[in-house]
Amino acid sequence: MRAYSNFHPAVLLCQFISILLTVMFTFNPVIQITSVIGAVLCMITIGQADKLKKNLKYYMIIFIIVCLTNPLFSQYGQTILIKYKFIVITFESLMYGAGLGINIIGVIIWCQAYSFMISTEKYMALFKGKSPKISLILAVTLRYIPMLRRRWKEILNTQRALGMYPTKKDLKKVKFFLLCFLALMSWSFESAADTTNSILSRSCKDAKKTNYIFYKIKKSDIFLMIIYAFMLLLFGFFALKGCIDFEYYPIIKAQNINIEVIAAFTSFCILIFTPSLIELKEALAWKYYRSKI
Amino acid sequence: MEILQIKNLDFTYPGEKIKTLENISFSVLKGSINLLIGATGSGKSTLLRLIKTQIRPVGQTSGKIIFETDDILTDGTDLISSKIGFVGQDPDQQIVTDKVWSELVFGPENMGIDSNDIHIRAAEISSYFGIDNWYEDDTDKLSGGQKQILNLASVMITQPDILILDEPTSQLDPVSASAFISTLVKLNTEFGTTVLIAEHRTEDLFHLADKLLILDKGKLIFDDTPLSACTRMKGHYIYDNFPASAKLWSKLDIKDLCPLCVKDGIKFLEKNFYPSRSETITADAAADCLPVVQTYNLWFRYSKNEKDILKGAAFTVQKGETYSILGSNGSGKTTILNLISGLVRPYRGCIKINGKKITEYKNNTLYRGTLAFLPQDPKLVFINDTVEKDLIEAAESLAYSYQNTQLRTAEIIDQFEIKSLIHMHPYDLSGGERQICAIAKLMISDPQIILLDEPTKGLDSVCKKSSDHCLNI
Repeated sequence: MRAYSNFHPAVLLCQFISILLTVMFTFNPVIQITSVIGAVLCMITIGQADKLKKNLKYYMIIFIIVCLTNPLFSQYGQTILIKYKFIVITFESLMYGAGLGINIIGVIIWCQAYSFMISTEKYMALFKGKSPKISLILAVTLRYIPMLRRRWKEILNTQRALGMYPTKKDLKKVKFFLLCFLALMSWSFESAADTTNSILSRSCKDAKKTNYIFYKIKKSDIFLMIIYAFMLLLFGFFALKGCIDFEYYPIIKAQNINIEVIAAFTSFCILIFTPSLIELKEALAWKYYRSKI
Repeated sequence: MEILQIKNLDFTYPGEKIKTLENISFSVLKGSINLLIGATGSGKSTLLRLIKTQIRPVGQTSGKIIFETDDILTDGTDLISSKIGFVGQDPDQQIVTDKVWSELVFGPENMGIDSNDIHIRAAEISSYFGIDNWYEDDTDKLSGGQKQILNLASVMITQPDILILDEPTSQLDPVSASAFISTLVKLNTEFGTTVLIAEHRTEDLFHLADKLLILDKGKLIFDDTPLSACTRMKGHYIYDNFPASAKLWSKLDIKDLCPLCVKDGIKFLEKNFYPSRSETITADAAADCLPVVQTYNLWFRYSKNEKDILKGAAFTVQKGETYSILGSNGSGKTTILNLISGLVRPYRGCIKINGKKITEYKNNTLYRGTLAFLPQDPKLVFINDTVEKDLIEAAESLAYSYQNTQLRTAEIIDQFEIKSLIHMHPYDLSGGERQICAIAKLMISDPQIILLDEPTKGLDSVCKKSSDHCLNI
């Protein structure tokens, strides 16, 4: 599925930043759990459920580590669970740790989902107009990284087939790798001269550089952008008002539910679930079209 | 009408006494194809680079280069020069950005063309060159042929009046090379783009060229049609670069027009000789049928989810035999060589070298006097800063004593006649010299089997002969 990632990269980036802002600067377990659910749904709808399953054990490890470390350092809280000499573990600090763990996992999964939706070229396209020099350097670098990797492998393979590859682990091996690395460097400098010529022969000092924009902003992009901005403002307003405050210490205390809390939560949900909803809508549309065909 | 006129052009590189180019004068007609040939080091690249102002080599010049009406040697602006397109030799190194589409729009962006205009041009050019299927791909994933087509396309998108190409097909395999040349000819016939091309693979281009220019040691020794070159250049060493049909004609001494391509060549033979097909040539059976390389049912793919590259490949190479593997790009030639040289393992099947399984050779023993592998790019063979150091290092790795190391190196240097080259940096050598030095390094261990991966790539016919000579030693 790629309905959502086909939106303009600026829209995707805005949503990503707003999610990070809302999740990182609020500390409400309901918000955090919703964020994790939203991230997981997003991963599933963009067809990366396998990745999620594969990484599940790492999430669990991170969660357990964060959850258990917090009580070791923080001994606030009124409900004491274990007390051994000067080690005090309270229920509140354990819960705080759990909240933190969920928070971090949420952010990690969102980052993963976004790495599938916004590729480097999309970031590049966003910043291209701002600084052509930096974007050229970035483009050249992105081109060079895979090329260097390929060449490194070629050099090593050739030397191996020449019988030069040291089998023992000693200084000779270090020297060998160093030599190979130097060879890679001189090769690359050599080829950089050719690349420079290629850049020069297509350059034009007398003309003003233009920017070709690969991604065009459409009506739907603007519409979605307005929704996001509005939701972020709404959420920020209620958050600053203290509607989503949640206290862990000295004793866990949640807000009373009122209309403002519901409004804040709804705006957050819209921010979080839009990608999955758009993907779902697209999937249904496909199914519908196919049944017609 | 002349689009380009060169008058009495001299050029000397700084610090050198001999002129690289001497008194060059010729003109290029609008819409024509001009073929420039010459041995390595004859000044072809220098001449072509002088015409493209932005990448002009530094040195002392005199004379005139007139493009349309302006003398671009003295006061060429970039704006005029952007009417001249330039495509170089190495497909890989000319690519600037990471995506195909961004590479295409790089030139027009620099020229300040409006974004909407670029969009239309990119669409037009990409469908013309057949790029549309890989328009959004990474440039690093393309094959050599695709890369060179992309280089040509990203020059053509700036709509130049004249296209200058410096041995554009030298790094390509024959199939991609002729595809490239036919694209070039198509550009010439459909857009009227003037072409000035330096090339040593003349087979596809010789009969289509309007003019042939021959450079020899910095002097222009010939400037006329290819047909007249066939008679006038008889006996000159440059004749080696002419197409096979012309070479055949020059040997036969028959009063008839020289055939310039295979089609004409066949006609010529049928007219002058009895039209009969020769019998098929059978390979001589090797004297002693001792198999040195045996492969059984090789299956290979690079990763679990990819396509199989080898599907049950099996063959036997006898001792003393020259065994050649043919196939188009991506058909698995390099893979087979990698397998035989033990760099990768097949997931099914087995390889025997000298009757012993390849897996039984431990700790580099395979490479000590048994087998040596020359990769496509001879650059890869060298990791030190002089050729000599590399040779000595290779000898040392064979665990010779110090004295023997020196002896062996000297022996090899004598054998390959590379004494004048050994103190140079491997990267400063010309393609042919580098190839010979690389073969010399392989031969240090005195291997029984040599594997060569497309060894003639990027070499002109003279170099091909000398490296062939090396292999016959």
